[in-house]
Amino acid sequence: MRLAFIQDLDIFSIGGGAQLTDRTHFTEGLKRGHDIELVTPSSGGVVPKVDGIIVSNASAFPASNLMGMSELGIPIIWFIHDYFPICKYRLFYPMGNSCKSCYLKERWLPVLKMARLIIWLSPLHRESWLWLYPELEDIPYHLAPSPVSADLFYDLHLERKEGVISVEGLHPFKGRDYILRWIEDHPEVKVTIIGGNPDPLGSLPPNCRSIGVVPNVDMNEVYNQHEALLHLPQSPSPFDRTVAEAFLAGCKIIGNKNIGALSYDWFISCESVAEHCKNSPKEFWEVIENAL
Amino acid sequence: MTLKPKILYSGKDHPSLPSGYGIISRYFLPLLGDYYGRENIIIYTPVFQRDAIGSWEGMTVVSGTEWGFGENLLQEHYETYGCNLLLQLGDTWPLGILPDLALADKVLWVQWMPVDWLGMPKNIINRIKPAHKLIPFSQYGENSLRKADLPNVGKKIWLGLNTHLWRPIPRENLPGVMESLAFSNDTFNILIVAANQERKRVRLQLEAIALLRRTNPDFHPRLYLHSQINGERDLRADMDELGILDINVFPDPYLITQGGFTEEQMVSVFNCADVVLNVCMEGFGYAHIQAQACGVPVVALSEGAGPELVQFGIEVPPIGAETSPHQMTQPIPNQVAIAKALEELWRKRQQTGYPLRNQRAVDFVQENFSWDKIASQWFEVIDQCMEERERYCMSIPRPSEEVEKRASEVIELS
Repeated sequence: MRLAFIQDLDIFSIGGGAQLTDRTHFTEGLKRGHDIELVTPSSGGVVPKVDGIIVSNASAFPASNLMGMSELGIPIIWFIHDYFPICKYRLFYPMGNSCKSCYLKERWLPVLKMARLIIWLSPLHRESWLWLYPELEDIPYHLAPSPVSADLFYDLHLERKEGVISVEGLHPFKGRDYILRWIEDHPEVKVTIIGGNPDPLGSLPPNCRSIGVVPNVDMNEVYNQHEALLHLPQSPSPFDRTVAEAFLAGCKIIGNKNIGALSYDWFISCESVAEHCKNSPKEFWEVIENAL
Repeated sequence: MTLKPKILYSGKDHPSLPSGYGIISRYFLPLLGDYYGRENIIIYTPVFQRDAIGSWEGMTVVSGTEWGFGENLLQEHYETYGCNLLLQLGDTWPLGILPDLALADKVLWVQWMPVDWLGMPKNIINRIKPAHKLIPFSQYGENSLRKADLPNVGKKIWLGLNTHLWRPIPRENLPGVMESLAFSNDTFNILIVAANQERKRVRLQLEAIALLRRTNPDFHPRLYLHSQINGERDLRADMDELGILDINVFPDPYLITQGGFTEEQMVSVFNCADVVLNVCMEGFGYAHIQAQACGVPVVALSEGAGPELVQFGIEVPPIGAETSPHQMTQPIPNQVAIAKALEELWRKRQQTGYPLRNQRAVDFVQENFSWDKIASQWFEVIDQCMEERERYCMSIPRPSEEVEKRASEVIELS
């Protein structure tokens, strides 16, 4: 099939979780023989004549463009990574009463209702979307966990000398307040925080150290030095691949009910997590092929 | 409306001051406070008013420094008091910091503003573009802003007046005031009120009076010029040069330094006049409506807010225009036309033998300028801003209780 894959970002450059996920799915699609064109804002935003469009992160593409393509009869599959386009904060989704009057609904609901298929990252992700857009309930959907590879994240069976690790936990939407409170409540536990710190001058508890960004290829080793991952997102997260990565790397998870990954009923053992995440790209393409 | 406003009101002067800005705040803020809760109004008195810190009529008062128009503390006040709307009153041309704050979504800025220039200078467009809403003082202002294709223009809201106080009083009931102004029933009594002598074009208006007097030996004017003798101009020298020093009474210079007269005294002064001269480019022009509230005719400029406000009086055209250092082009009134307008009113006055008064003008002010009416228009604007603030999610909201509960319930998986 000839497909357009719409993304804000270049998925073949080093990037965050969304790029890693898209890169894996895109490559799998090519392996399955599909002719897929990556459409980014820098490629001019032109969508070639295609059998279908997969809309991934696409905040740079106006609703009217996508509506126009739907009206031309081109099937659109939404592969949703976060809360774009239903919440302007994307990674933080308050799910409050004020969300019900959000201006974005008028703009995007008609476009989303034209979807042939919607792919969310977890049951919690879909449930949180439907809370605000119940109109999408009847649209065919699929739940695709992030394709975290057990070949890259696994237990090295080393002595775990460090206590707890938190990945990107100093960002408010990742639950900075909850994380810091937990650290303060557990002064006996040493905590390593990986990733950016939007408030570098703010004080951190003495049992905690922030070591900045660590490349994803080094993360398995880092996880393996720690007993547990501390992850307390402030609002419902779509999946949180770090949870799957750390779990596969043998870390205990100290989390909360806002973690999308934990809303899967199979997220109980390393084996089942490894299997479902491994199968994710294959299942991703099977449902798309069926839908088109 | 689910989101309650917490308003930082920056209205230049403290409400207890007898300045124009002070008087506006004195009447407007209690109504705003009663509607939204006085605890939700923070009054910012930016310049030289640190002694005023505390509270006024149950509303918190915060002050500024000597710097500029107090823009340097806007953000801190806004954040310190958890405000979600800045309502600023006054000129826009000096603004330097606020536009950047608004652009960065640091404040939700609503400006109640005069437009007292011709066209729309680029310099000003750039400053006011980031505002959430621009509410001009006049229809003239609204039209000018709309012509400039600004997307954030709201309907004009006129300034209000204490319509209980500003009413006609027969001058027979005011013999003491007549005497103190050296007005009589046999003279043609002219009133000019001018805090800003240059913007108000005082010199040109004096030239018009002098011209009419020179050319009409029967014209016996008296003038009360309510302004500082030595302000932007040396008015005594101006009048001496024009040969009209003998017809004029100046206000007590000491009283002027202490903020001038009370509003009650000014109502009496206006009621003693045969005409109020206010021929200059106005964004609003309080003198226009104060005069008419007393039924007194006004001579006004045919540009700016004058034509929409003056129901009883004569409009005079400009003779040219000049551009200020702030790129604002303002019309120059025509002295000859002012003299002709004065002559027309003087002759009518001669014919009737009575002071010229007009009930329609009085009714116009009573119907349109009460503070209750003005405040109710503002409530609509503020409610709409709050709705937009919520609808467009202009500040990061707190997560819902349910989401917070889920976030704080720690679960462990091993």
